[in-house]
Parts: sequence; structure tokens; C-alpha cells
Amino acid sequence: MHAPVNVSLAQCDAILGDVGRNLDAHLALIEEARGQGAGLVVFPELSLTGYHLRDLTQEVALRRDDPRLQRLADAARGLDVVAGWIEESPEHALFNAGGWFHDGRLVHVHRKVYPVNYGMFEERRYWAAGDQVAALDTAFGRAGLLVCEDAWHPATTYLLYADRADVVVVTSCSPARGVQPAEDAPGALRSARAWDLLLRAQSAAFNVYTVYVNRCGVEDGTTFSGNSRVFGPDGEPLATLGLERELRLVTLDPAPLRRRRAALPMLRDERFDVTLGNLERIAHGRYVL
Amino acid sequence: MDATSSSALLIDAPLVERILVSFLREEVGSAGLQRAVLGLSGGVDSAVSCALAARAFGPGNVLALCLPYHASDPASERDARAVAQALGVRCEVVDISPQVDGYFARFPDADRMRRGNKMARERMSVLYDRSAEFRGLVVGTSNKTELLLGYGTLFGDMASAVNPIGDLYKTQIFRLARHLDLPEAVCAKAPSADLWSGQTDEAEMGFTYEAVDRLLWDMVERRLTDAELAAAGHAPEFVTRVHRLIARSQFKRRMPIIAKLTDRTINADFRYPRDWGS
Repeated sequence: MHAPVNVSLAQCDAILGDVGRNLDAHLALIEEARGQGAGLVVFPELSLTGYHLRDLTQEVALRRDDPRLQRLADAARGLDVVAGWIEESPEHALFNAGGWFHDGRLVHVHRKVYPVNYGMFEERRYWAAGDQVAALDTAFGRAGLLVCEDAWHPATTYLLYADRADVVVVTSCSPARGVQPAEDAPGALRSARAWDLLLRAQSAAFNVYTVYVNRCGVEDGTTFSGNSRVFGPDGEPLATLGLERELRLVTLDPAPLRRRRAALPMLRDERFDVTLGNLERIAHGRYVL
Repeated sequence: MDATSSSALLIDAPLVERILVSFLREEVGSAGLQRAVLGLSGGVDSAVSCALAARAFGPGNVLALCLPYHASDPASERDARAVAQALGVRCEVVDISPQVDGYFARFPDADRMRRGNKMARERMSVLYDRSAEFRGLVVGTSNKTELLLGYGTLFGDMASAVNPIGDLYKTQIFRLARHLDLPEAVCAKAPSADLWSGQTDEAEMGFTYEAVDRLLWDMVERRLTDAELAAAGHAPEFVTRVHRLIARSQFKRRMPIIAKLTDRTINADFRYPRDWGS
């Protein structure tokens, strides 16, 4: 990471299936964030479409060259914007995509690698699964993007860390669940506490900044739990949002990251050849007693 | 394995209130409305739904209807009025006796169950009629315990447009009621369908809400096996009975099934969100 960046967490709602109105809301929030000095504005998972799309999925899907995505790219002049939509591939497969927009261009797309298909989720019914996890170079340093469930498979964060990401951005539409009282965290949902534990641990283990932006609002009876967060490379929380809609600016500074990496040189000492060799052995069923 | 203590059913009541108030605002708002209509029975469930609606829309935007039958306990109407008054909500009384008695004059031999179901459906028809006039949605008052056990009338008291309390067990409803500062008479009294004098849910069902909620928690939320439920202290015959009640009432928790003929049968493979475009 070579420059500080002001990240704007755009914890917002979406109108289900209405890309036009959601796009207008994005453009307004980007300008508001720009006015606050944002260098990166992060919207939640599927921010342009809403989450519970079901059969609307194919009706709201956009190709990468869609003029509506270009409008978002044009709004990202002089800053970075992360937003989510349903991407239709040239082969007509539909992906839950997170896009990274900068200076008039869609510079990076992350297709959700792990669409969720258990409990209340039926994502694989509608979406194809992505197969790439890659970091990208930005004006402030190297960054990576994951969508929701991806982050629950630590290998994805590990891959971004291996790909030299300094900042891991995680977007989500996480439903509020678990309302039993938490003695150490009054008012905190069980689902939000689980995210907190996961991202805090991964930030500290991989010595990266984590920017987590979750949706708020209600869709088909499901309340999205907000609680967007930023964690420093030591796992300490730098920002914790509430349940409601909010635009929050948080500065990520290279100095604490540099100090952390110097004190705990995990990345320097990482042995990717060992990981790779053992993964190949395990994947091919060659177990060693 | 330890029996589930009642602490498993504790709720963070302020958090639940926030979620349910925002649920009502957004889901009723999805229909382009900001008003609510509900039946106020004098019991704790409808009192909690009414309090949530009053917080979501403001008391002036909630119409509470008290819908007594002449055999209803007079205390029910008194308690319903006390709830409406405490919340500042408009309360109207519509006596359903003429429409129920007018019908059963033709079927004098009808049993208690038919009469009780008819009363519940007459109340539903009044609520939906008044909701059109008031330009509000009908807010549900069925809790998770009765939805799971099937202790309600299909298209009667189970009917609503939006239900804020359907994922809360009965014992949790009592906890929320106290947090919402509802009148003590409502928070303390024994739950009753009030279909005949002296009826209580617990006497009619043959078990207490506390016992069945602990069992439902272990059975539904924790998905314990029968052996684990027995080890957790739930009597096997009670487990069997409750399991049967849940399975037999599954039809009440689903929309009517449609015979499939096309490639896009409604709800089978014509699957759109309820909040389509809102």
C-alpha cells in the first residue's frame, strides 16, 4: 500500500429488480461521498438489483458493456467505485458480480465463487459460480474483492493475500438472524457477530485491511443486518456501522500496515510452494500417514 | 444432553422491536401504503402486533378492530380497549354475532370447531373489508408456536398481508410484550382463543407454552433427533404428539397447491419475489 485512501462505506438499501432507480441512487451517493473526500466508494452485494431476485435474475442481468454500467464507470472519475449486479456472460450464464470501476472504466470483475445453496439460500439455482480470485492494482495500493459467502471460505482471502492484496473488500447481503441477547454485545445480532469474528480473525491472520459493506433494509420478510465494518491489519475494528442506512468515511493508512508487516512478516515468510504442493497431493487423494 | 433451559428463548427485545418495526414499515410501504388494520382480541399476540404497528406508522395510522361474539368473555373487549388506549390507537367494535348466528341458524347442529372457525373467518372478512376502506394492510397476529402446531384457522386468524410476530415463540411474545410496556392485564393473563367461556389454550392443548416452546426450540431450531430430544428431557410421547401436530398442519403454512400442467406453474417454476419492483 503506497498511499492513504478514504473509503466510503455506502451501507444502503435497494429496490428489488429496478436497476434504473438503484443506479440513480448510486450516482447520488457517489457524489455525496466525493463531497466528503472519498477515494473509494463501496456498495453492497447486488447493489444495483437487490437480492431476492429469483426469476427476475435473467430479466435484470447486464452485460459488461451495458450503457448503465458505463454510467457508473463515468461517475467514478477521480475515484474508485465497487458495486454489484447480475452479469450476463457472452455464453448467457448469469453471475453475481462485483465490479470495480475507475476513471470511466470497469477495471475488474469478481464473480461470486461460492453462491450459497443451503438454509434460506438458493443462489445456485439462479447463478453460475465464478472461478477466479485475483487482486488488482489501484491508485492507493493492491486490493481484492470478494462477495459475501466467498469470505467464509478462507482460501479466497488467502488467495488475495497471496496475490499481494493490502486491502480486501467484502460485499454482502447478509440477513439478520439470531436475536438472543449477547452479554458482551447488547443489540448485536448473532449473524453480525459471526461476521465480526470471521473478518477480524482473517484481517489479523493475513495482515490486511478488510472493508466489509453489507446491505440494510427489508426484502420479502428478510431484514439485511447492515453492521458494515472496517478492520485494521491487526484485526482491530476501525469502524462499525449500525442496522440502518449510512454513508461512513474511513481512512486506511499505509503506516499501520507497514508496521504490522514488519512486526509479523508472515507474507515475507510465506511458502506458497509448500501450500501448493500439499494442496495438489490432497486434491489428488495422495494421503500420507 | 441437558434440557434446553428457558434462557434459549430469551430475546434482545429492543433489537427485536427495531427489526420488526422496520419490517412493518418497509413491507407495508412495498404495497404503497403506510397504514395498518388488525384485530385486537384482548390477548398478548394482537397487542404486540398493534404496538409494533403503532410504532411503525404512528398511532393515527393504525385501526384496531375489536370483533366480539356474544359468547366472548367481556374481559377480552375491556383488555383490547385498554391496549388501544395505552397505544393511542383508534379502536372500533364490530359485533360479529349477527353474521355468525345468521349463518348457523341454518346449521344448528354445528359443533364447536365449526363455529370457532366460522367466527375466525368472519373476523378475517371484516378486517379485509375495513382495510380497503382505511387504505391499510392487515397485520398478522399469529405467533410461531401456533403456526407450527396448526393452532389457528386457515383463512381466518392465520390470514394477513404481513405478519411481524410469526417467527417468535409464544413465550418470546410475552417477553416482547413486557418490553413494549403493554398493560399488565394483557401481559399476565392465560392465552385463550376465547371461543367459549373459561377456555384457555394450555388447557385445550394439554401442555404449557413453556414446555412446548422448549421442545419446539430443540426440535425446530436445533433439529435434535428423537434420541437427543429424549436425552434432553422431553417425554417421547410429547415429542411424538407435537411432531404429528406440526406435520398434519403443514398445509396451513403453504399456499394452496396447483396442479402442474405448464413449464411455468405459479410458485413451482414461476418464482418471483413478493416485493417485486418495490
